[in-house]
Amino acid sequence: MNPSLRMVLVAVMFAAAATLGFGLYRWHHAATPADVPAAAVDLLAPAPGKIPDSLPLFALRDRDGQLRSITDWQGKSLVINFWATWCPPCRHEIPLLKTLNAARASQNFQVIGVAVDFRDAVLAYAKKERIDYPLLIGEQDGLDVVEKFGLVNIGLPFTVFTDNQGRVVTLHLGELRPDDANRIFDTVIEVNKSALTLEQAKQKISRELHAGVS
Amino acid sequence: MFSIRAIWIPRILLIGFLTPFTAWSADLSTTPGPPTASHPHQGAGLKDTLGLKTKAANDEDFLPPDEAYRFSGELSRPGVLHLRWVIADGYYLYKHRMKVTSGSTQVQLGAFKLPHGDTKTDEYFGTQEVYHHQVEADVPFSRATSATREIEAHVTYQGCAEAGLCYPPITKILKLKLPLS
Repeated sequence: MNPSLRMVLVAVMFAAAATLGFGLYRWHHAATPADVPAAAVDLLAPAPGKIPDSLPLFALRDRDGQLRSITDWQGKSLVINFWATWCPPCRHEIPLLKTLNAARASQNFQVIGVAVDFRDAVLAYAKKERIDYPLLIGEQDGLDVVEKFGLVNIGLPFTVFTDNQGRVVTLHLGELRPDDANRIFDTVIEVNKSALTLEQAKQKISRELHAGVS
Repeated sequence: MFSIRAIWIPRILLIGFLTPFTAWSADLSTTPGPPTASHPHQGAGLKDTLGLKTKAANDEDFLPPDEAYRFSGELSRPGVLHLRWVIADGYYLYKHRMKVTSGSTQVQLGAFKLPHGDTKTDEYFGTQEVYHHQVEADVPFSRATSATREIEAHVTYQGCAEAGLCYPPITKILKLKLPLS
């Protein structure tokens, strides 16, 4: 290749990389809206990220103030429900989660609530509603966990289901309904028994939940 | 022309999740002229974006917040800021969570005049007023001096989808050029 052409190409690649890097920096470092050109805005607005294949590691404080790692429940199929006290559908689904946690315990399932909310509000509500499954509570650290699941800019509630090896089987956005929840639980059991691959399970859940299979 | 600046800032997003009145932040910078009343539905829903949606024809998806609630503002007449939310079917906004404040000491905002909403009864939150489809509100304002040339309003609102998803509060920063007084 012509040396001068090579230099031009290198310079173009460097400029492109620098532009991308700067864009990412701006996105992650709280750019001031007023100094961002309007035309560039849509490119900089963060989009939801990718849902992880495996349960990301995180630790949050429980109701007693003890730091609990999600690995404390290693070996169980987890149902991790993200919620907040200000969110009506989050409150609606808590009785269902209590029921499922009790009914599915013998199948090695564990419901864990992750409240992204002020600690005092969560403690008061948990006491009033007698939430009997483990609760982790986070404010900034709670949102950091939300980000680990690829859900920036999304609402609440959402619920992550894993198999007993910590692989994410599905993430359910919005209030969980009993029929949908039971279909997901049953599918996770099939994954645990190796009757379904993870990919087959994801397709099955997607097909059944959205197509209204009963 | 009305331009939208939508920058979500993780730190502000955090506050939005935690408190009902500070929020996801975006900046609507405007110059005088007609606002865009609505935008065409441009993109994927949230499940689609996350790869959770199937191809089933009857699949329901949640809209991104700025598509669920299309906000705009304009100077409708001298001394009055006119705000409008076009709300997608199946979504609503809480009246008691709508708020507007001035971003500058040069402009003082008056009382936020919101119309009566629909009554929504929730077993946990009781009876509240909510808005469906569209809501408009006037906010009177006064300038500190005749030299004040811009109004900056911080408008916060929060709502949910009837299908069971609540968005953290959203704050838009609305900037409008003021005519000579």
